Amino acid sequence: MKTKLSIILLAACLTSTCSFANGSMDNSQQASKHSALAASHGTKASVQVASVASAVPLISVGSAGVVSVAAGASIIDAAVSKPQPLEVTEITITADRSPKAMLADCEE
Amino acid sequence: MRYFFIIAFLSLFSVTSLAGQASQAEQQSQFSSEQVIAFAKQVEYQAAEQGARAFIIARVGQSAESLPDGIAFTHTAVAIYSQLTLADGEVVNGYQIYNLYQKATNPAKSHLVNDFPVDFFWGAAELKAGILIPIPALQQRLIELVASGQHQSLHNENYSIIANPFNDKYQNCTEFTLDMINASIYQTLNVKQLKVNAKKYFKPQRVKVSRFKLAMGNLFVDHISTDDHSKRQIYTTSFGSIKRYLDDNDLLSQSLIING
Repeated sequence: MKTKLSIILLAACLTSTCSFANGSMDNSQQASKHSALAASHGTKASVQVASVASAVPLISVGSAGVVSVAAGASIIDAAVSKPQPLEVTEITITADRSPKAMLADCEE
Repeated sequence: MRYFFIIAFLSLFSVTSLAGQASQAEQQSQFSSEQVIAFAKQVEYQAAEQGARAFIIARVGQSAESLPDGIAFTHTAVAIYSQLTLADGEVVNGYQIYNLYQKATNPAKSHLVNDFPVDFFWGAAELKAGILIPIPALQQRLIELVASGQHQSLHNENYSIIANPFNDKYQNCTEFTLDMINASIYQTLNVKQLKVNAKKYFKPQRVKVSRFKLAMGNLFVDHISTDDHSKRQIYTTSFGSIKRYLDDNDLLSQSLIING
């Protein structure tokens, strides 16, 4: 009986690691998340969900506003002492699922 | 023997209430997708309103009651204002987030993942965000670091939920964020030098959990390690300690707590 109880408790200890998962988990690959977001898309005029093909950091170049680093603009630190409000899209951008997950959906 | 396992069992549940940087691949959202979408946009808009091109962002991954004293957020990363080209070719602006996440398949290891606010807050226990907006000069350097891809060289895949920020044996998401900040400040990717500087200037968060509980975690759970801590007390990086660090060094422009 004691041995059984110990084994059960040990098993519970080991499997309880599943409940450790609520800190900094990676939610970008979740199939359930993608399904939920897809269902939300267009349910309200303000809810648009889209995946992104590429993302490039933007950096201030003074009064000209922002310009893509990848566009070859030099990175300068002038005129960033007075931050101006930035424009952000209303579209909700979400990370795509992994290549593995994408292909898994296609396999029967 | 039976009592040992009972104590171990109870202790493990206590250990789970550590900083919470542990991660797995999947977590169900506790809120509707519309709520998460709206909150993520709210965070983006508020950061953009402040003109933040680079900022520190944090979320709460487990209930506040379960967190140790001094720990308010469980995951921290860096958000960068970016040009986003959508799948249909449309070009928009928004924030991309640069994270260190624990691997689902191997909890003792981590990987770097770029995602977006809605991904970041998906599965959060509370619709609450911590925002630290550095001074513009530090923002500039963070953007340069990320745009060059050099931040990747700061990554240590060996993960511990309570990683000691003063050495490079293990790393968690918040320590990676601190390393990115310090690499930007000191303009170096030399991790040894970054750790020397951190030890001199950074004041980490003490984690008040008994050594026994930590030993149990160390014994049974891959992502809790204590062998990088030389003293009896455990100190790790937290959102709050990064806030104090930036503030103490006049590098913090603004801090926000956003509730959904």
